Amino acid sequence: MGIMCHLGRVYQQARDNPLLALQLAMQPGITGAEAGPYGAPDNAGAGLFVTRSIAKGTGGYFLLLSGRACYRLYRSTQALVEAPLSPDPFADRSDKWEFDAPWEGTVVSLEIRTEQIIQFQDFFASIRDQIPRHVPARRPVRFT
Amino acid sequence: MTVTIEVPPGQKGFAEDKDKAKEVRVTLLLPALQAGDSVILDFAHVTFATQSYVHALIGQALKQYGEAALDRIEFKNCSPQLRSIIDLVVDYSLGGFALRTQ
Repeated sequence: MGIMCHLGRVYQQARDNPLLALQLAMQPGITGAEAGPYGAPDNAGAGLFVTRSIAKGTGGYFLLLSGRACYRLYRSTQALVEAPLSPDPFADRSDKWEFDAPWEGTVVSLEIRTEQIIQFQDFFASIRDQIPRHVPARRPVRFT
Repeated sequence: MTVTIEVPPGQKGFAEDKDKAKEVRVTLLLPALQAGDSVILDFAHVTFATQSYVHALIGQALKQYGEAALDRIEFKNCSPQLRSIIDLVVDYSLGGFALRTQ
């Protein structure tokens, strides 16, 4: 189906703008899944943001190609704590292309430099802490 | 009453099949909460799960019952990696994303 077509069902502005569709798709909370009374239970719109964050946080690259548009995040030379994540992928150092001939589908390619992750929980927590939230405070989760 | 739900592990303990998570949500988790029960989600056989899987499992319950869901759902036998993923899903399910929507 492709990202532009999928997101275009919910975000009208993405229907005729392939690069905008990619830009939206990589932001947290943006999903083409239709929401019910309790949100979209099967899709959060977080996956591409999280994977992009993991790639950037380890200094790897991230590429997203769909239809006529392509985005490539540059490798970061800084650790995650020194190179804050941007919810807007176009605010990060990156290339964007728009092609004449479309790729009929979607490609995600990323590099995760696992040797850069000393402690997964701490690394993931630093990603979680940078997600922009409406209400940050909540009760603790009961793990037993 | 407390209902214990064993979370299916998937291949080699890696839970990533959203359809399986949805099945647990629809057939076990939501009915138990609807009935006023507390729930133990037992991840004993799950080594790791994707964010998508955890979202499909608990996202709707968190949206539907809000923070009160955290008083009624207990997460048992979670690896540190799983805890990170669950914390993430709880965070955005209850806090939302502070971004433009349309």
